[in-house]
Amino acid sequence: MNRDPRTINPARRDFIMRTAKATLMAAGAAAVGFGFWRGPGNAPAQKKAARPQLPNFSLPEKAGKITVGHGADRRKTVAAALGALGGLAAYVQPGDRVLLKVNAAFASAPMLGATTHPDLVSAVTRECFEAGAAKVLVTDNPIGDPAGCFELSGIGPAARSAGAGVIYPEPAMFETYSVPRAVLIRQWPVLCAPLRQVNKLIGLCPVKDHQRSGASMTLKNWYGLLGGRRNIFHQEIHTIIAELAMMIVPTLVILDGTQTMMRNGPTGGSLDDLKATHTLIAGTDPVAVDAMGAGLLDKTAGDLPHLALAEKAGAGTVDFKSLGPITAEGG
Amino acid sequence: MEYPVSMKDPKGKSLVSCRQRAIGGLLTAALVVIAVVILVTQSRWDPSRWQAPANDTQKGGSDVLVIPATPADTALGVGDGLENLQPSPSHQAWDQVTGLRPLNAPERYDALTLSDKINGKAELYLSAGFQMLETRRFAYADHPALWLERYIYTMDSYSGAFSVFSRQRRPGATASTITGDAYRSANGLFLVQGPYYLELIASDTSEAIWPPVEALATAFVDHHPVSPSQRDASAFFPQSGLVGNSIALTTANAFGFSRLDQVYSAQYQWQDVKATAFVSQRKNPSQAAALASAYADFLTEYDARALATPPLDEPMYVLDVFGTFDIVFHQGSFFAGVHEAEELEHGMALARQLKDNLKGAAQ
Repeated sequence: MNRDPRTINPARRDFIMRTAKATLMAAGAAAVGFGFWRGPGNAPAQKKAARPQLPNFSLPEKAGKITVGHGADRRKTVAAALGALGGLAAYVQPGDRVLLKVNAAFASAPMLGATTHPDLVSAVTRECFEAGAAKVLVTDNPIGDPAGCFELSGIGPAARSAGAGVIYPEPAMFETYSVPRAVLIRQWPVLCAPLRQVNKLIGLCPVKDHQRSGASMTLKNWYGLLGGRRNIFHQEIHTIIAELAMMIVPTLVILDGTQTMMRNGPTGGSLDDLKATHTLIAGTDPVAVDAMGAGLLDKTAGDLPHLALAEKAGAGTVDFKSLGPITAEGG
Repeated sequence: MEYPVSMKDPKGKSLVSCRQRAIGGLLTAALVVIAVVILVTQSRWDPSRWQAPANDTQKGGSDVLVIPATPADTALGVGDGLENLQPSPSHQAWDQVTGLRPLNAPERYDALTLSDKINGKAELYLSAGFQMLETRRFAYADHPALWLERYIYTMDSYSGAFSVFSRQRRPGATASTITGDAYRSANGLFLVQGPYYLELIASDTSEAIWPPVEALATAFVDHHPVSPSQRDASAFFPQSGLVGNSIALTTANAFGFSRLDQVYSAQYQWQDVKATAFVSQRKNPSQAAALASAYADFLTEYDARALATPPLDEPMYVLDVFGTFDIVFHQGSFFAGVHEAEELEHGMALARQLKDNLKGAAQ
């Protein structure tokens, strides 16, 4: 039987024509859609450029050092603790550029212990300059507005009076960063710019109770380098703290337990939340420093799972006693 | 039978009209545009853009990325920073207090952004019926170096406000008469007014801080009248041995048991012996009884040892929990008992007193 010619060749021709028309229409529509792109001005900062990993600020020859200063005067206590480490001049050389990563998270009065105490900021800044530092910078990415937090906590005025520069975080200072082997800090905005301006990094923070993590000490202090909606990490608080320990390898950390926030952390709000523990711990192993600091909160390292995770990740040791802490009296 | 596959009629004319073809083309084009826009936007996702914007309109500091050091003879102190913060007009009647000037516009936070202000402490409020937080800072007109910050937490009910108030109560605090639930610490005033929990935290401990603090608190209370608070359950705690200001309300997961919600507790101490009494009003006696049984089973699952039940009108579950004692019972629709009594004799005496008090209420 002869086939109707319209059911063969014309159909194929029609199909080809319709497909071609549809393709041209789709291409034209795609071009219109792409026209909504406003150009590089909207590009996430630094997203396309490959940046190197953050520097390792530690001094290998100073590994495993930890000292404890006792006293009510932070200036004297930190001087004693750093002296027992061999003096800050053993860690900061002439011409060095030093970054002090403080805790300026809240617009909280210095006496409430929720932020790094201004006396400590000024004392360490001055010691850095005495050791020959060319530049000392102070920074944090506060939870509140930076101006209010740095000013009302006293950190800003203290830093400036001692000769340090205060860096308020700006969007351009953040890089999309990934920590190798991390599961949370992947393609996440991190305040990298200040870290890339310096060759020495010192963490300064108080000892505080924390509602979620159990404690806020030197490892938790690096949380202030995260940008974006970082509060989502509260659901994985111990993991994020451990990854922060992987991300940042400092020259030195100083944990201020002169007044320890025993309850209602991390914001506190009353002097009655504080206990005069008159202890300041300095060291090159932040995990060990935090393990020792746990005792000021009447806790053990075992009560703080992030310490074990950080140790497992190779960030330090919870067995601070094995490092032979040296005790010094401050005053 | 063969079917024509062409979209043309026998005369060669298309079965699809021009109008239909145009509409189809536009729809297809629109879908493609949408798809391309989504792909382009998604490829440019930047988590840093998702940071919650600050409500504070004050932008102190300079535009310079690094603030240069100032001469070393500049005096230290918070007063230096306050001068840089410009005042904002007050627009709420309860903010207009003599002796204080607002430093910023009110900042408001909801459940999604609460942790942007109080960080890890947010969970305490979120689990207790949190609705909104408003904060504002004030400078002292007569004392330039002093300032305070006021936190107004709006909870879903009085019990939620009392819960967060009681669970954060500072030891050694002094009772305040501003409301029925209020205390002063060295530098702050903390109170409950209906569904509101207020914290007024000053930057200093001098006597100068108090008149404006109390005026600010009183202004808020006066502008937010509420009906008398309901604390029926906690009113039944025996007075003998009760530690002052120790009554607290746990809205969820009391004593680690997920079914224990809305539980009032109070601390007791007789010389060196301590115990905690607890009371929770349930919907009806059968629910209270079921909860008592469930809690006893929960303790037993964690290796608590059930002891003999004393000869009472209604059964009490008495358990040895690794050297301390839990006594659990229900009285009418009240679920109650004693938790972690260090000595059984004191624990049983307290439980009997509590049961008697609740029996009187149930009649």
